[in-house]
Amino acid sequence: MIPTLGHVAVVVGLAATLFAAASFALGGRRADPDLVLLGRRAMYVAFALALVASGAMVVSLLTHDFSVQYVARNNATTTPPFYSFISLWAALEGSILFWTLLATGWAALVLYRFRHRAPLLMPWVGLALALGAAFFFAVMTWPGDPFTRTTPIAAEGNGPNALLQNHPFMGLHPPLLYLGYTGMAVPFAFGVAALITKRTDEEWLGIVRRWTLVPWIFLTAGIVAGAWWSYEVLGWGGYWAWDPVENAALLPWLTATAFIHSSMVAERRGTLRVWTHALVIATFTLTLVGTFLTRSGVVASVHSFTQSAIGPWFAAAVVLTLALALGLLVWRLPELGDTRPHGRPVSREAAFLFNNVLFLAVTFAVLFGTLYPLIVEATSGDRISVGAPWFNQVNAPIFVALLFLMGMGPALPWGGTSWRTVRERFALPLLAGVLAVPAAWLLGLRGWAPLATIGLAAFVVVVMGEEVVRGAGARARSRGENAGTAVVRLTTRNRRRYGGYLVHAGICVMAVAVAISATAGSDVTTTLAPGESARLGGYTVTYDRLVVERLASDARVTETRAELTLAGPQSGSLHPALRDYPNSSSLIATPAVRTALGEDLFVTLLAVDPARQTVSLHILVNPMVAWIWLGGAIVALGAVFAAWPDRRRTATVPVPVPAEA
Amino acid sequence: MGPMDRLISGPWRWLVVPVLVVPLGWVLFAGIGKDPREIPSPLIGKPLPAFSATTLDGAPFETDALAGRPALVNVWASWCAPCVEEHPLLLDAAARHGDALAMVGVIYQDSADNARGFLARYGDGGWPDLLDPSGSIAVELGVTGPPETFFVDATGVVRYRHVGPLTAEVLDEQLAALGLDR
Amino acid sequence: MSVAPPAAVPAPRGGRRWGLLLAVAVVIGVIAWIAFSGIGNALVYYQTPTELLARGEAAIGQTIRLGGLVKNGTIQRTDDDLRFVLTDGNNELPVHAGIAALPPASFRENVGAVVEGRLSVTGTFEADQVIVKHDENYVAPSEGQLPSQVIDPGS
Repeated sequence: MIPTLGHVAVVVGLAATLFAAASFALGGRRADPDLVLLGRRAMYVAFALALVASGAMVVSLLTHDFSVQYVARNNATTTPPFYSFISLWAALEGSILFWTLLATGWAALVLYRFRHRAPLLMPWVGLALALGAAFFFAVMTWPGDPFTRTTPIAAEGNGPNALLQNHPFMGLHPPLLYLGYTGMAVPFAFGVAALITKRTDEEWLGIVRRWTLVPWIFLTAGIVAGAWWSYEVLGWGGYWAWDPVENAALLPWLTATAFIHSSMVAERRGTLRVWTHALVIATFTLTLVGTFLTRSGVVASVHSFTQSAIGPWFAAAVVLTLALALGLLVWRLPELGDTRPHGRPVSREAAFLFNNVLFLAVTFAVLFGTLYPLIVEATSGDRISVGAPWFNQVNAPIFVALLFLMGMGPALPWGGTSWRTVRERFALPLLAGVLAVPAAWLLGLRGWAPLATIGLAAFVVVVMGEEVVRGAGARARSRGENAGTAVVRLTTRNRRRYGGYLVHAGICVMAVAVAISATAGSDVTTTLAPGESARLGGYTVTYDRLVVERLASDARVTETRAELTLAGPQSGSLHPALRDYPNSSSLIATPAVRTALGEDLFVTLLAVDPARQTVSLHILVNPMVAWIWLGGAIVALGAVFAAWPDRRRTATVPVPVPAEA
Repeated sequence: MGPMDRLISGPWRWLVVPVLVVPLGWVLFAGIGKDPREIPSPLIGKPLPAFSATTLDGAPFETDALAGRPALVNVWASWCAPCVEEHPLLLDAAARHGDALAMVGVIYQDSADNARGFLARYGDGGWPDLLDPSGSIAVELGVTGPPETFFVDATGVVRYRHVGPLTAEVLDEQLAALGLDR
Repeated sequence: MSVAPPAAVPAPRGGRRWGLLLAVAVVIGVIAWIAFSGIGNALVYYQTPTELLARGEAAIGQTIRLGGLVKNGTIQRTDDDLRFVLTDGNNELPVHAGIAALPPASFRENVGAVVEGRLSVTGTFEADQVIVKHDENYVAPSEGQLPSQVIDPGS
């Protein structure tokens, strides 16, 4: 009954979104607010239906209804309720359902918030959002029905993928990521609406700023959370491998970040408008490409993804979306010239232009590296993979250049300035940057990349620091405020700018942490008998004993655990383990990680010889890793601050429209 | 208007769309249908490894018993949900082809009681199911996890290995390749 | 300077910013050069023993991923060392993995494996990594699973 309800909700949802699309299109053409209202309400209904369908799936999972194929494959009677719940997004069909829920949620939210505003844009915003949601409902109606039934009904299901049961964090990472992905449809829809209505001036950009920042925060948090999960749970000792799945999440983030910056210029200076439109189109397209890469089985990692019939649908959606949106952009190209004269070369606009170029370069590099194996196999038949070193080799210099721009951009004035002014303005930060390098060297840091990163990070931080000091100082002098109040009042009156500075500061922290952890770490692989120890970087790891037992939380799982004692800068006991899940013919490793602010001590259990009771361990000292997560938190905090409305409310007067919901 | 501006406002600008979209489309569609499972079973084209075991009923079993007819070796377990899905297809194949097709089950990482429970619940087709307590048969066959099905021809050579639950199409296609038509 | 009305008319282009465009072109050129010159070395070819042997001496020293099945009865393990034979049914190659390349606990005979490393002049394949290959028949993938892991969690 409940699965049927879910399936019906999906099919009706398809009808509702198609109906909404038609209403919006007609309502837009005829400037008919009643039709637009109808479309809005249809989208509210679509969201409600997505809620019903998601609820039906969650209930099926919680009640272990194995008549539903998805439940039989991803759930078992022994699965704890928390993991049953998060299995909603654990596998292909369920994650599409979850995506639909979020996509219709964003659509309903933005349509509701703008029900009295921007009447010329909203019908087309609604159309784009409705069509996007309709696609996902269609995928669930035809090739990817999450409520497919099976007969006979299994008495026991497969249980969730072992990896998903290993750590409760799996509850957090996909939702964050998906909220980011789905939220990017909103700025895309506004961009499309601006192009259709020829209202390509600052209006849509002013609206879209906050509606891009919020999904961006989720996307950033999701990617950082993924890296953290990969590090803590998967146990290979690293956090980013340029794996196609990781790249799929990074690509839209890169263009979205570029878009946020580019739109500032377009809004304020009337230039880079084509860039801005192109970037938001690229962002949305890449969210679809990302889903395609992850879910379709197209790109061969060493492990195989399941083939599915959904692949061609996504490929078609990507091609269609890009063709239509690009067509719109090209159509309106003549209107998108600069509305104000260019500034001089050494200007903030120029810095932003280079910013766009560099972000796009990284995007292309990552896209190329990810898709190149496909191209090669399609043409020559050779199967290849592009290794991580290539990605690092190409992207490292670009990121370093971006760091430099992060310092230059905010301090260069709009419209341009002379080299003399530049010299004066940047004298102190440059000095700080240059001094930071030998200081870091003296502290033991080696390698051009980390040293350059530290130098540039110091440069950026001092530039921003100078701005804050100068601004607060001016306030304090002119208004008699003390330093603290001045800083608070300065920043809260212009959250965009100072929130942005905080984000950049967070990026600097992450950059330095990544540079150091990537180059200054050490590791050793060793086999130990009981009582033996291994030494690495001031730590001593002693192997005490081996324990094999069933998990208390799930009796089907057998855990083989090495009990180790750690001595050194951090001490205590470590229990890296291998877990044997019944539905997985291999063992899942859970590493033991000891985190301190300066470094992590990381141990993975590689292999066990039960006869001789020996264990093979991979021990790593990973410096500064905690700062990567902290830096990520700073970035998120800064973005939240930037998105928060200013204390002095900026006026966006709603256009009076007959009050309807 | 300068030449750049003419380019931007003239009809040539539409070229951007196919130039960008077509290559991307080709790359994406070319990738579909590529099975990333890169390692085919090396057993294909080779004789089925010889093994002997005890069936669920306690009788001895030798692979010699399969000689002279096409055979289907199905690896399954009671805790494997897709095995439930494919079971009706196996029952159907056994009923349709009878003695013309030799069918053997290999029970993977499971207990005899659970396996009997599975058969009681979902149907016992009457073909021998082999207990493999040491997992040696699974290792011989190179099994990574149930369900897996090996299609063996009348001379004892492995023709095809299917990983995952059988579908009606695959079953009919592979049995036809062994000379057993619907 | 007066601001042009924010609508369709492009502002007059007195001397297009050729300098800036040139700078952008140079930046793109440098990046493209780094990318494409590096791609040759960065490619890891995936081959079977048959394909690798067919390439003869040209294959020596190149980083390759070799895929096949671990041949029955050929595994020799010590504390720091692993030797086995990888076969694709037609041809086979001896593989040596040192302590840094020890495979996951699921490594055993007759299992599909992918080894990444180089063919040495002695004809032994020196592996930097040994990965046990699985078919994900009934377990759907999740985001975050990584390809090149020495520990191979159910992938």
